[in-house]
Parts: sequence; structure tokens; C-alpha cells
Amino acid sequence: MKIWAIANQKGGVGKTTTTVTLGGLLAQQGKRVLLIDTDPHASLSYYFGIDSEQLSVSVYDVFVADKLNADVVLDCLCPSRLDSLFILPATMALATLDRSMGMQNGKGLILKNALKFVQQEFDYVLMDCPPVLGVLMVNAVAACERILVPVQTEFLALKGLDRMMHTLEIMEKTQKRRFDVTIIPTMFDKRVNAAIDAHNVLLEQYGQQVWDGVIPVDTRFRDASQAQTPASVYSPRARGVYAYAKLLKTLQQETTK
Amino acid sequence: MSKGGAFAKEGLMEDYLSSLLDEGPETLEKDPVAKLIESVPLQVEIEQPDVIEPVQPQVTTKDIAEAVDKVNEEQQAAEAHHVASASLQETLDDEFQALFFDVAGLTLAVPLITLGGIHNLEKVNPLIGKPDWFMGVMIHRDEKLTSVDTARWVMPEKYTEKLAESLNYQYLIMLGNSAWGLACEKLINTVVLNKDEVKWREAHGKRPWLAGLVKDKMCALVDVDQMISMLEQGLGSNDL
Repeated sequence: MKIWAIANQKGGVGKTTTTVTLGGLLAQQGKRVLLIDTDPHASLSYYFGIDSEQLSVSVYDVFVADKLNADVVLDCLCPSRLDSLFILPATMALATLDRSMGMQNGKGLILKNALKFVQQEFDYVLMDCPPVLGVLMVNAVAACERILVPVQTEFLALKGLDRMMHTLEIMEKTQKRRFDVTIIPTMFDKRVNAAIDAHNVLLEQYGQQVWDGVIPVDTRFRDASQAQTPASVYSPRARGVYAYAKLLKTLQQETTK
Repeated sequence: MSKGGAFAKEGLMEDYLSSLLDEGPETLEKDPVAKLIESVPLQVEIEQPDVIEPVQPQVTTKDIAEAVDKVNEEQQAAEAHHVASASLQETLDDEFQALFFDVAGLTLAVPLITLGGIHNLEKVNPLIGKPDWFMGVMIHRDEKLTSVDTARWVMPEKYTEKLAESLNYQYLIMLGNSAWGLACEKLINTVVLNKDEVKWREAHGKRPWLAGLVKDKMCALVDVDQMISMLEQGLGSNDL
């Protein structure tokens, strides 16, 4: 089971779009995919038409379970329109976790431990992280083997990236491991000079860590979300989907190396 | 521990993260994983339309099954009209994915590899002198997408005024690389199918667009190439 976290401490950079589109493409490859929404705003859950406030269980129940086992996780899953794609939805109650467990030892490892129980059930787990550093993002990052950092190709987003990368450095030190980080330039508009400049700065500053493609601005992502369907199904020939397919190919090739 | 990084209180951040990531004693159960399939229903619950009353008459699974069973009677007719290409059954892998969608209570499926995309159905401009199932042209990014009234094309014999009024088309399911799109009311889901799960029509008969019947769901699997060919010729679903 491969576990990827999609993280950035800045909001609106394309985390949910990246999670959903890669998840859709993987499911279309026939892979068994679990998408975990760890953002209290539950954008990923809403994307699939899941109103998590109406659900009796969510990923919150995994975090607060007295004792973890497979059922705790599996009972929370929601199916999607793709039959090999499942969602572990978020709920606003997640926002309370930082207060209740933010200073308790080991509370950053709950997801990592929970996923051990379902490792035979899925080929890929993709976790959509909240745009704040806290117990939820730490859990996702600690559980994953690869971190995807979508970055909007504009200068404010680059500043947010500095913070994100530094956070990861500290966590690497704490966990005594190296994270496999791929920075993904998103919402790239080749007609805008500022986007081209920001992309160049990204390449200069982070070099090898930056994926060598870009995810273009594409309104089909918005259309797909309105239809509550991954863009890879909704608009398989969209240029944005094509770019994500290329990214996925790169990630899968790197994983098998 | 601060090394003058991005955080003003580097040490505080390190303490916070160290505490959260403290492995501590292992207390987890090591039970084997329970079966996912039993725990999670695989079928997506289909939303019911808010305003549309059940349409009478709807196409029933029996109708579809009968249509598929008629193949032996029909297969000799109008062979000349068929697209000279490998059959859908030959083209598809043993496992393939199909998008299921709803039109007037009828569920149709198209293999994803022949799906050109999905558009929200917007303003459609009718054209004069076209068949009645020809809804018109929808402009999308300077592209002209030709919209088909799917209910009228697939089941003209059941297309009543009442049915027409009840239709609430939302999406346009694009066929392959063509400009043809099938209007649909609801997207249901995408399912991985094995070829064995389809009752394939053994030869092209009167309805070459009907590749077969998805047994489990009793719904029609569309042969997109054949359907495009018929639409290009201005033929209705039963016109061969």
C-alpha cells in the first residue's frame, strides 16, 4: 500500500483537486484507492457529495477511538462513483483535535497506526491535508511515504512553501527519516508573466524536488467538482487531467525504482 | 535547537512536533483486517430526483433483456450499415470501466475508453430540418457539440408528451472523439466490469449500438462507435 499526503500550509493551492484527480486516475487504473479528508472544512468530502455533518461516523472517530482496529476505519468509509475509490470523510469536529490532543505524546501517529489495519485493502491511500500545521497535518505527514506539495505559481504561494518545507525539515529530524517530497506547480497560466516568473523561482530554489511539469489552469476542474465526479472521469481529455496523468506516471515510475 | 530557520520560535515548534511524533509503547491490536466488501456497500445510493414523478411508461429491464434476446432474429438485417471495425467486445480488455448514467429511468453504460467527456448541459440551439431526436447544438469553448435527446433516440416508441415534460437533462455524455453527445439526467457511477459480466450480442443486428447487457445491473452497454455511425447517418435507434 502506497501512502501519499497532499500538503501545503497555504490554502487554495490545489490540494483537494490534486487528491481527487490523482485518486480518480488511480481508480481508473484499477487500483483500490482510499482518499482521506483530514481538513475540517471537508472540501474533499463535499466534492463527492458527502455531507459529513450528516454522517454518524467520520475520520474524527478514528482519531478518538479508544482502541484502533480495522473496523474502526472501515466503518467510516463512504463509496464514490468509482467502485474502487473510497472516501474517509472529514467533519468540522476535527477542528477540536488540536485543543484536545495537540500536546499529548504520540497523537501525531494515530493515522499511521490506523492505516496499518487496512494495508491489505488498498493499493493507494491519498490524504488531503488541512492548510494549517497542527495535529491533523502532522498525522498525515507522519503516516505517508511520499509528500506531494501543490504550489500555486504565484509569489505569495512561494512564501507559504518556504514554511511548509521547513516544517518538513523539522519533522524529518524528529522522525529520523527523509521524506520523499515532490513539489507540484499548479494553476499555471502561461499567458501570465508573473506565473512564469514564479515557476522559474520555484525551479531555482527547489530544483530536483520540483516536478518537471505543470498543472495548468483549467476550468474543467471546477466543472468536474460541480458534477461531484473526478475530472479524470468527467473530462478525460482536459489538459489539466492530461497533466495530472503525466504527474502520476512520473510518481509511479519513481516509486517502482 | 534553533538554526535560524523559517520559524521565530524554532525550539517551540520542534518540541511540539517531537511530542506528537513520540512513538511510545505499542498498544494496538494486531487483529487481521476485516473484509472491506462486507463493511462498505459498493453500490452508490442513487439520488432520487426531487421533482420528477415516476415516468410511465419507463423502459424496464425486461424490455432491455428482450432487446438483447432479439439478436438472432435481427442480426441478418442491414449488415451493410454497420461500422466496419472490431467489435467492442474485442476492443475492450477483460476488465474495463464503464460510466453508468440515467435517462428517463433507463440506465445506460458507456466504456470509459470510449467516453469523450462530460459537459454540463447548457443552452442548446435547435436546428431546422433535423430528426426529432436531434436536440440541437451546444456551443462549448467555440466547439459545437451536437446534443441528442437520448430518451427519444433510444426509446421513440415510449416517448410521450408526458415523458418529454418530465425529462430533466443535466449533462451531455460525449461519444468518443465525435461531436455527438447524449443528454442524460443523472450520472450514477463508474464501475469496473469484467467481460463475463456482460451478455454480449453475438452479432450486429437491428440495433448495432447495443453492445450487450450488463447482467448484474440489467442495463444496456453502448457501442459508441456504432452509435456515432448511426447518428452520422441520421438514423434512430430502430431505423436499421
